[in-house]
Amino acid sequence: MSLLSYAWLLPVIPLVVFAIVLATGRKLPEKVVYSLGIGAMAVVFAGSLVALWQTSHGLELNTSFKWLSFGANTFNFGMLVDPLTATMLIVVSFVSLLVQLYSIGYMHGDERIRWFYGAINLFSAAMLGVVLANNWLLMYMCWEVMGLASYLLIGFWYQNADAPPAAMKAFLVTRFGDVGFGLALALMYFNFHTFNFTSVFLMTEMGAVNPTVIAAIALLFFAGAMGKSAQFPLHVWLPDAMAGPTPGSALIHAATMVAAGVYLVARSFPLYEAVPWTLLVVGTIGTITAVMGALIALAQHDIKKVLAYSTISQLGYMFLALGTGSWVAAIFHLMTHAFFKALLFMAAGSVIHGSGTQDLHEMGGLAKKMPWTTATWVLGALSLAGIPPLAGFWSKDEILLSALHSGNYWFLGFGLFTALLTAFYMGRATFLAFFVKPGPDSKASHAHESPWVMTAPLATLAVLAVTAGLIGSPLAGYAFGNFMGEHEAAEPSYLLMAIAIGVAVAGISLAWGSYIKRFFEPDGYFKSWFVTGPLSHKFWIDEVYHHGVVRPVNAIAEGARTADSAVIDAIVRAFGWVGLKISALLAVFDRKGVDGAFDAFGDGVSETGNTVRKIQNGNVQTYLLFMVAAIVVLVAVFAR
Amino acid sequence: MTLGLNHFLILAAALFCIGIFGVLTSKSALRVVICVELILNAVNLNLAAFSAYVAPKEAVGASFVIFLMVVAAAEVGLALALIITLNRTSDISAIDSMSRMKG
Amino acid sequence: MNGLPVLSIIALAPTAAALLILLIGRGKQLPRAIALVAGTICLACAIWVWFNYDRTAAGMQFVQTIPWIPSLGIAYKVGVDGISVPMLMLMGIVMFTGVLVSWDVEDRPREFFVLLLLLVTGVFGVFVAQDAFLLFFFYEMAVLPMFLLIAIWGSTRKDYSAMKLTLFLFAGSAALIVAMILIYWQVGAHTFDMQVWAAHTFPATFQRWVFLLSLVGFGALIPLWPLHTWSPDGHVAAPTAVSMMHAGVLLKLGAYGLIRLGITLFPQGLHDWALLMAIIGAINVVYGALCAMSQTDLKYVIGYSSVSHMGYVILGLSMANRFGLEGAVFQMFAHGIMTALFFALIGYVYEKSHTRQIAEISGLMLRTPVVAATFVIAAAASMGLPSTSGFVAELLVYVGLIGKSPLLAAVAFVGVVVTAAYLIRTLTKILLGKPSEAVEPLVDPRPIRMLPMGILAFTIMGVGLFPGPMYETIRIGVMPILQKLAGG
Repeated sequence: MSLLSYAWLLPVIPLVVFAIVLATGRKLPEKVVYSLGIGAMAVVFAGSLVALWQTSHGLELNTSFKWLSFGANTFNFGMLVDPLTATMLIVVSFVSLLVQLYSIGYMHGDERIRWFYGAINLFSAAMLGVVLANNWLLMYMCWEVMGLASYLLIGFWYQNADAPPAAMKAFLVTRFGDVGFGLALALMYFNFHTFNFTSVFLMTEMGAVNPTVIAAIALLFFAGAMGKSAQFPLHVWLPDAMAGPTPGSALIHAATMVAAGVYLVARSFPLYEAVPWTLLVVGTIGTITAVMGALIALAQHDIKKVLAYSTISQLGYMFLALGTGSWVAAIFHLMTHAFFKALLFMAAGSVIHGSGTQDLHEMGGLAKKMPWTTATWVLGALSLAGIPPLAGFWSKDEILLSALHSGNYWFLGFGLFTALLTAFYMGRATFLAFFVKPGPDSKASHAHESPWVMTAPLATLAVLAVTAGLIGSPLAGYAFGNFMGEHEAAEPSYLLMAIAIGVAVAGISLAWGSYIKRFFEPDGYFKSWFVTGPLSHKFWIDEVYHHGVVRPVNAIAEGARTADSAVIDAIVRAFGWVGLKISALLAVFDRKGVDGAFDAFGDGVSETGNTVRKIQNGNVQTYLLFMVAAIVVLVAVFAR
Repeated sequence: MTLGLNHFLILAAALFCIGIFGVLTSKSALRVVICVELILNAVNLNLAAFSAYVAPKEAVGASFVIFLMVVAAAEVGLALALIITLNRTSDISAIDSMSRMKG
Repeated sequence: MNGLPVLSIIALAPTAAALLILLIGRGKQLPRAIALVAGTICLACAIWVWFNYDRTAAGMQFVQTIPWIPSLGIAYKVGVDGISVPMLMLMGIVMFTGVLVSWDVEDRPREFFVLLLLLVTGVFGVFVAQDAFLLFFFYEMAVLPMFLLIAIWGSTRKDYSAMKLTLFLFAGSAALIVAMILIYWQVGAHTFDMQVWAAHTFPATFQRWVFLLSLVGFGALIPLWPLHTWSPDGHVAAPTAVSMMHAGVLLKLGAYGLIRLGITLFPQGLHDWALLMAIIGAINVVYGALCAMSQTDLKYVIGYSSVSHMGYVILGLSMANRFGLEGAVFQMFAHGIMTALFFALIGYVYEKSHTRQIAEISGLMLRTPVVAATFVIAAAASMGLPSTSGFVAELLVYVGLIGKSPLLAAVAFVGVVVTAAYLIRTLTKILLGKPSEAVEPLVDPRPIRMLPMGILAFTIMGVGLFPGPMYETIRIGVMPILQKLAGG
């Protein structure tokens, strides 16, 4: 317990690093900056391990301190460390540590590398804050800082034409979801008078609050989660976000921040359980996203875009898991996904670093040039495709199992379908990048293996991508589920496992057949209407937004501005005009009537004046003479 | 023969008339100023005389005289300054040629 | 220091400084030094009041009364309560930073600072006055220098804007004078003391119509849609320091006056017009945000964002419940600081790059990282991101709103999204990208010019992270009004 009470240090340490970077600017040598970042994250990781160890021994922390007397109650901020938080801490700090290590190599030579480390640390601090918060308000605060950090990292290479719009889009779309989060907070405060997890859950359980309100809050939270976790229809920002540096994408847009939405729903799970139909909404959105993401990923040329759509799809998978009622399966998949997707992103980064291109068709045959990268990528891809006994298999199996037991066979069916697609597009990307013979546009001939600071984190993650799943598998007696507090593990279904393996193998074989053996002609497949139409246009969702939201809003804004100057201002000016006209009329009357009389009078006066003025000859002595004469006369008259 | 109030008053009236005459007839601005001083001093003399003969205990008139002397000193300073300035700017000291204030 | 008439010092020190500048303030150095001293005194006194206001005793404190025109019952009476204290702090900060921002005024600095200080006196006076006549006197005192400041030192269409502003405000004043005289006769106690007025219960019809007068009169200043068009023009035309005070504090005079001479006196009137007010408030929020979105001039963007943000104040007030009122007052403070920061930043960029066209500015982040970071803080507050003062204010307003009218809350939330849209679009354009030609010569400001931005940004974050004391003060100030609303 005593050690856990230092948990607040975890987000503070990277925040201090950020502050140092911000304050020193270019004064610190690069080495110092990244040593600081890595050192700090190593300490945080160590701390997270301690937290994990302590929580696994049944210790928990839930402390608060007064932040604000809000309304009638004092309002507290605080930390909560339980198994869920501890797991998230490990994931965040570990991936962040490896990403920072990797960035030494990847960002080498970039003149703004210090700022990159600053932003990464700001992000890490915010994300750690999100998972440590024991109330939604603090979580929301960190949540938004996280969004800001994401904005900064996407826009990091702002000289490139696509980075600023991508950053803007990411911020706006997630902000749209966050508006839901904010509204949920207002609604929650009005009904519960607190933001604290424990109190709210207690009141929910007692039925102290109207279920409709709870449903509204739950769905609004989910809106926030949809924005952050790129769920349909708010997923459009994530592919564009790939304009940022790859290590940043690995950390933020693959492993951690995008999973924060899943964490939010998992954390608020009692709210959803109180009104079960909300889970159906969550699951449906998740399923749609999973299938849609996987379909779009089929038609992408850019290796990072493939991974981005894959991330969207896998996040959808996690929401599908939540929808089936198993938040443990969702978090389990979140963890394994964080490892293998971070691995894939960093391996992709290594490929880009080594070959200088992101286009799959300009690669090929990289396996010989970049053996380490290839090996780790393949492990990550297999894990994602769901090949046993790699991590992805176990977590995906948990989700499918949960769907089976929940009796929602739509979820199960689409889950399996997504698994097939996933195996196929990962196979496609793998074969195209590493194994096919280099084509005419290939840049593979100049490719070289990346330095060890990049491959070492890859290898570390590869180990986890292989093994991390075991802790949640039946082989380890569902240790993960037990740790999370789920005591009765679901009955494993070996049939389902077999089907899942079969699907994964089928997907990979299909890709192998298409791209290596050429049993099927990939060119023909890429000319089919489905691929050239909906898939490569990403189901036209961007276009829908552009024509349905962006342009109308701009038009309305333009209209409002025009109205402001043309209508309201015109009315104001009309009043002014009428005033002027009236005064002009009055002026005429003035000139002819009133002025006429005055003029006549005035003329008389001035005539008199003209005659009399001659006395005023300007000579002082003349005036004095008049004066003396006047006195003499006065004396003569009055002094009798 | 003792000096009575009337003697002083007659002297003062004479001084006053000389002053008025000077002011009205002098051409030189300086002489005008000197004549104005004569008028003032005629008044002073009257005040002192009344003070001494009518209400010797209160010395009201005497204190007025002190005030008037101060005022006169200030007035002379001002008048001289004006004359010098006029002299410098328009090169005239003859007062009857100053008629710029003509209406 | 207890015997010291601290409020009178706050209100009159700027006038004294203005007179001093008139007497001895030659050249460029002396006027600004004197103004800075006056600013420091006012800020120090405001801080002193902040710390010495007894929050357990609440009510009117530091009261000082001197009969002025006894035959009419007019007195010089000053005092502060929980609503005035934050406003004093706001004005203290904005004024101090405003003087620093004007540090490099080249054109007739002496007259500039004299007028600026007179304006400051007027604003401070309104916030401390407890006599309606005195309040009105100070109110007018704030408007006149504003006209000259804009018409002489302004830019873009300054004559037009200055005239428009003055006409609108005087039109408002006309309504207010009528309202004031009506109240004076209605109370019949031969006094302009607002506390006496507040204790009086007015007949329902009287409340309904005089509240409307007050709403229109002060509403022109808030600015209430559709009486708002003077406000963006005024912001844009005014020199930086005046924009800061204008948007930062002058708009709050309207809301403050409405609380003092509208809501406190006529709770029934508020109930009668609450729906209209709420709708207009929502229009303000959404309409202002939409207008801001299509502007091409940075100052216009912020000018319209003020219209939008003041909509929250109107919304909060119209809810007539605890969170609404508290949120409204909190928003008055938060918006004052954030918008002052915006104008300080834009003023700096304009001064160096000679353009405010969004299209011509880009890449600030590379040239002036500190200014860019400060921009981000201001924008975060404006978007109501958590850990800024804007968040607390908006959250309070929304809690108030959602309890009474979820529909309006939803409408106003559209405003939040549009606000995020135009701000992030503007930020992305001016901060990111390659430095444009106009931005090339820019560097980060020297310390004395950085100081005001630092103070304002620090206030935003400080109040956002630790809103406790501010909230507590406002809560105490709003309490008596709530009691009246509940009773009436």
